[in-house]
Amino acid sequence: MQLENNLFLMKILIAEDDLLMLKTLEFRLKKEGHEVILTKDGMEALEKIEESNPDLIITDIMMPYSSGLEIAGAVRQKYNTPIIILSGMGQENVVLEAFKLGVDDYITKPFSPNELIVRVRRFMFANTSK
Amino acid sequence: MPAHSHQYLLISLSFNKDNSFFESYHQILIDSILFLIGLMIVLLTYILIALIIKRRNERLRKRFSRITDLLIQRAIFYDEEELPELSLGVSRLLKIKLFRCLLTEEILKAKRNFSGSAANNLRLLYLECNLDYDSQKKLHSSKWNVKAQGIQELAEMGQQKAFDQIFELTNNKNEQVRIEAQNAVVIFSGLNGLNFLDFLTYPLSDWQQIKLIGELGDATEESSNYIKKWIGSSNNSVVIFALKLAARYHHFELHDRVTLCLSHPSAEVRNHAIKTLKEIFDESTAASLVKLYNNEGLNNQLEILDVLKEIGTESEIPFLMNEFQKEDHKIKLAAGRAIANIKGIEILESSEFAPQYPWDQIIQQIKGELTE
Repeated sequence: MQLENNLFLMKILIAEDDLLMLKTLEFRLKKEGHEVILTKDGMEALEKIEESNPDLIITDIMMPYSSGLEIAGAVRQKYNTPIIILSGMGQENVVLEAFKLGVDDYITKPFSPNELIVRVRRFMFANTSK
Repeated sequence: MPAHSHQYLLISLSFNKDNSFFESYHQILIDSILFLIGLMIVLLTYILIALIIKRRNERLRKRFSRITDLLIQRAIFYDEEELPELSLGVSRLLKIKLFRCLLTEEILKAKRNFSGSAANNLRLLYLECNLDYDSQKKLHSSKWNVKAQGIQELAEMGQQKAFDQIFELTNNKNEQVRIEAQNAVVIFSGLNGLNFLDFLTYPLSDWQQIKLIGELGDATEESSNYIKKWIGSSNNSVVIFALKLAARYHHFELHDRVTLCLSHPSAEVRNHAIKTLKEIFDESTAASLVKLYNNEGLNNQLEILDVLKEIGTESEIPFLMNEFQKEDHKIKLAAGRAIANIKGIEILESSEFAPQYPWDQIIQQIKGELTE
């Protein structure tokens, strides 16, 4: 889907310690036209979230310093920024915990990058009403 | 001859004897030292050469990994229609074994994170680079770890063409090879892949059973027939696995076959048969379990009481009340739970021994469990 209206495009923060995953997400999201901020651990992610106020956060769970769930909890205390969890942990209790903390979507690995893009697009339209 | 000359001769003779001994000992010592020095030199040379080779390989790996990263990104970043061609330089590198090993490793690592078109592209890259030939070659290695690695690679990359070769390894004497082969055939063919159970002579561990069940999809039309066959296996671990499958797929039509297992010589098999009947019971199951009860050990008796908690009826209440009065506390608790589930906690509270220890404690505990 080629978008004409730049208002749909977002500033997306990615928190992921796997370099290949980070590069893949960056490539695919930039291809969609979004601005992408990359962070490699939980601490860096929390700092960049404060600095840059992204429109969407995509985060892994297992990361150095702060986990994705801790990031979600911290973000929800201050902001309504949509959060997508992208994790290899698919256990029911973890998924439920994530939704209790207020995340908006949960994708388990292995995942399809095409599917992620479609899910990100949902938030693009929500972004226009901000 | 004067006496002192004789003594002198004796002394010089004995001194000569000692001198030759000292010389030969001295020689042995020198030889040993030279040998040890020689050995040290050989060892040091070996270590030095090994270090040089190791460093060289590390440098090569680092250099190669920049290229393998680009190849993997090419596969993941683009959809199939957009994929650029592989360059000539890569074709030259593919002749180097270290490069091929590294590329296979990286492709497998990446494939664990991605599904859909990205995973498919990785598989295509694996085939494009003819890495499947390397994996198939590993199946013929005499080293078990290399064999197992080959099986894993072929399974992860969905190489169904290797099914027959891998199937032959499902009863291999090495446990790791067996496990990888069994997992692979199930990944390839689902329940049909489990045909190795027909001839499996080695035990199927509990963990392996869990893994296989996790890999299996939904039941098929033939699954009941397969499971019925495996319940009759001479390998007890296969029987137990089949009982678990019967429970998982709720094959009620196997009820009578499973009930026969209640008279199996192995207590462990009987235990699993009891558990399975919880999932596929009929109106006669509870009575069959009660009949079996007295001939079983504590473990199986507790299992029976646990099952009766779920499937028991009013007819079992007199038996359960009897067990509730037995000496063993575990039996009391299990029987009490079953009674409370079937007829309600009130029947326990109104019994004549309810105010006495330990029944009062047990009833309180059951009450607490019910309110939770």
